[in-house]
Amino acid sequence: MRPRYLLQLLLIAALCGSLCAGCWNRREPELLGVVLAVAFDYNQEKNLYEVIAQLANPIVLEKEPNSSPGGGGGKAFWTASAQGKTPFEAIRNLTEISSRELFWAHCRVTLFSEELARRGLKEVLDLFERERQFRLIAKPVVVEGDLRKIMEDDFPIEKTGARGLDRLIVTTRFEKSIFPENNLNELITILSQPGKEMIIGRLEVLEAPQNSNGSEDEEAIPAPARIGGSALFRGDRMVGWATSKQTQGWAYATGHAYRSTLVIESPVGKGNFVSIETGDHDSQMKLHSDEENWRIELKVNIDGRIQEFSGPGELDTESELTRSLERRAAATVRNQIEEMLSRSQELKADVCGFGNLVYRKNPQLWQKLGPAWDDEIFPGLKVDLQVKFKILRTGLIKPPL
Amino acid sequence: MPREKIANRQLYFIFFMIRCNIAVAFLPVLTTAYALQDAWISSIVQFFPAALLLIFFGSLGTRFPDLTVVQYSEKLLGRWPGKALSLVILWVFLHMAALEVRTYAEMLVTIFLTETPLILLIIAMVIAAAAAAYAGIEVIGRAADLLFPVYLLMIVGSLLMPLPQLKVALANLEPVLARGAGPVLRGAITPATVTVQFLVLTILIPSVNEPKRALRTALGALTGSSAILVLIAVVTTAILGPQQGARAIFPFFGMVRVVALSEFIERIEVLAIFAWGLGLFIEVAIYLFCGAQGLAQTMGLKNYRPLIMPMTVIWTVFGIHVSENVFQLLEFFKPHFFAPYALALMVLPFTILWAAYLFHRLLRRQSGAP
Repeated sequence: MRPRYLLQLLLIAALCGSLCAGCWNRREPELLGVVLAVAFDYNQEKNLYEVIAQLANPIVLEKEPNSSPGGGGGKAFWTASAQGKTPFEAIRNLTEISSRELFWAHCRVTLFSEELARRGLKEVLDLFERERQFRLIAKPVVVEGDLRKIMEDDFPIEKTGARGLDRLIVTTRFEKSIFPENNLNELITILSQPGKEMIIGRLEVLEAPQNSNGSEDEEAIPAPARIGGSALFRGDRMVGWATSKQTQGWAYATGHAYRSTLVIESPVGKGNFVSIETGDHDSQMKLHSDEENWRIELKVNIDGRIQEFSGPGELDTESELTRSLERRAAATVRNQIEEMLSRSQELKADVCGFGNLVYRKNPQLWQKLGPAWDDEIFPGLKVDLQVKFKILRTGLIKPPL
Repeated sequence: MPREKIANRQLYFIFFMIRCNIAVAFLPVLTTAYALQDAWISSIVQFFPAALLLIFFGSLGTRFPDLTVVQYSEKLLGRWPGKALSLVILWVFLHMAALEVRTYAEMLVTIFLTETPLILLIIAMVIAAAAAAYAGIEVIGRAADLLFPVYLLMIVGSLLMPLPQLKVALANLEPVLARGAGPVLRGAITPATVTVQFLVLTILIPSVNEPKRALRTALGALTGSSAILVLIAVVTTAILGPQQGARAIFPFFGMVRVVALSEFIERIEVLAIFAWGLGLFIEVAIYLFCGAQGLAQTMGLKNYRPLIMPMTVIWTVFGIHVSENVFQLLEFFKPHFFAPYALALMVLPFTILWAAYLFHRLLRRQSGAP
């Protein structure tokens, strides 16, 4: 029977160990500074990474919403920045000025300055993949404008700036598809695949309008940033911007679109415009290849509904008018895709992944084309583009007023 | 004293979890060689050599339904050679348990408990397993009954969550077989030879309700867990991308970490960690039980229980010393290292045993026939 007692003793001792869980290496929430958003910049003169972190301020966030709004300089978040030779050192250098240990797992938005993006994101991405606290589901953004300002700015009707940025990204991409939706995981996957380049959304910092009386008006905070467009990359280096329209083209071509608005001129009345909202997007890239030739076919099928139609014309039945509207909508989409294609060809950044298509469907062909793809083949690539647009609904009424 | 027995169903659950756990831990089809996007083909391919190996060393046991490998090797080879040979097989249990506990502890230290001493994590797992092993095989069997549904639910759950992301991500599995069969076969080597885990069958056969069907049960478990392995390989490679998955130390865990189902279901890695821990508990308990049982029989003890305590200490220490750092741990599972080692442990002892068995039969037939 003795071994049994011994075992029981051992078990009790082991269970006592679990009581220590509270004190050994404890991380009390009140000692942690929760990082909501992080921005990376690169200082060319000093050759140092700069990190700007936005931390939640629990003292203000816990308060009742009605009690003295922001009185006594109590902002809902605090922005801290530090520099270092590597991104990780910069992050650790933040502790020199932060009273709380930083906690990164809840960081939802990652901002990169244009300067850093043009220099290369590899080091930052590696940190995100390697470090245990970072999440690859954070959303990346390239910022055009003052990085520090956007990290410090308040967003109207949001408690913290980071939450504002996060919601801004999500709603914009749902409503307009002018912003490439991706997370860091997808970026890293693209970076490690041949024949495909990264595309990251663009955020433009807006200058605050100068008030005539110069006094800070607490009631009316101007929108601090606008979202739309994208930064195109070659490898981990940014090579240029694409406009909102072009980015929408990218979304149509790659099947990343969710909803978007097309405004087309009515075929019957000059100066009359029709608004169509796109709904269901489907895109298929196909590679047709034989021994000698190969071509890439891109089929885009989009469904839409009419959101605005003030005439002239009837929408009672499927007629020449609706077919004409469909053709015009298809032409608009087609233009946007072509615009994106020529922009990416100009920058030699294959963000739509045509090279990847070749690699996936015909690896032997890719072995031949691969080395010259970015510099010679892709810039002159002709894509066989077919766009079909279908108007499925007309809203709540048939003919206009 | 009647022998403690487990049902064949429980044996199935135990084997399923033992086998699946390796995939949950570090997905050898993807990480040990360069199968990349063809890892899922590797997971299908590995089934066949694994099944052959299992039949090779399992079918001898079904001819001695009341004896463990320790007992029948003494019968076939004589006392001392038989004991020496069974020690080789018992070594496998010690080594595999140490490796797997170490991998789990290494994961916890890497991701969650960076400053906790490794030994504490290993002790916690080994003591829990020792308690189960001390309680006996029946208790382990019932624990498997209880934990298996939870285990399966967690694994399948973490495979279903990324389903909406899969539509786009499946392109990451292409091109299929672009680099020929070589990488696929190399990717299958380690998973196939990990069948060395199933050597526990040779000790467990007499403890099973229907020993004659034990091999069939084990094969069934191998099939089921291989199916899960294919699913894990597909989803992980698709979500992470082949290169990123191969770069990861814990790919399945990495995949679960990036799952974000429409904004509110995120951070579900608890599923993967729990499943891994539960599976590991059963696994180590079984290794410990089989090790103690085998050692007791080798030394001629009636009861294996007095051996559990000292073995717990040895296993904990070995868990620490099995590798110095994470590089060695990962290097050990590379095909060029692991395959010869595991194959030697499976094939050599059982070739000798089979030869002896056939020799005995030949003798008996000759002496029996006038």
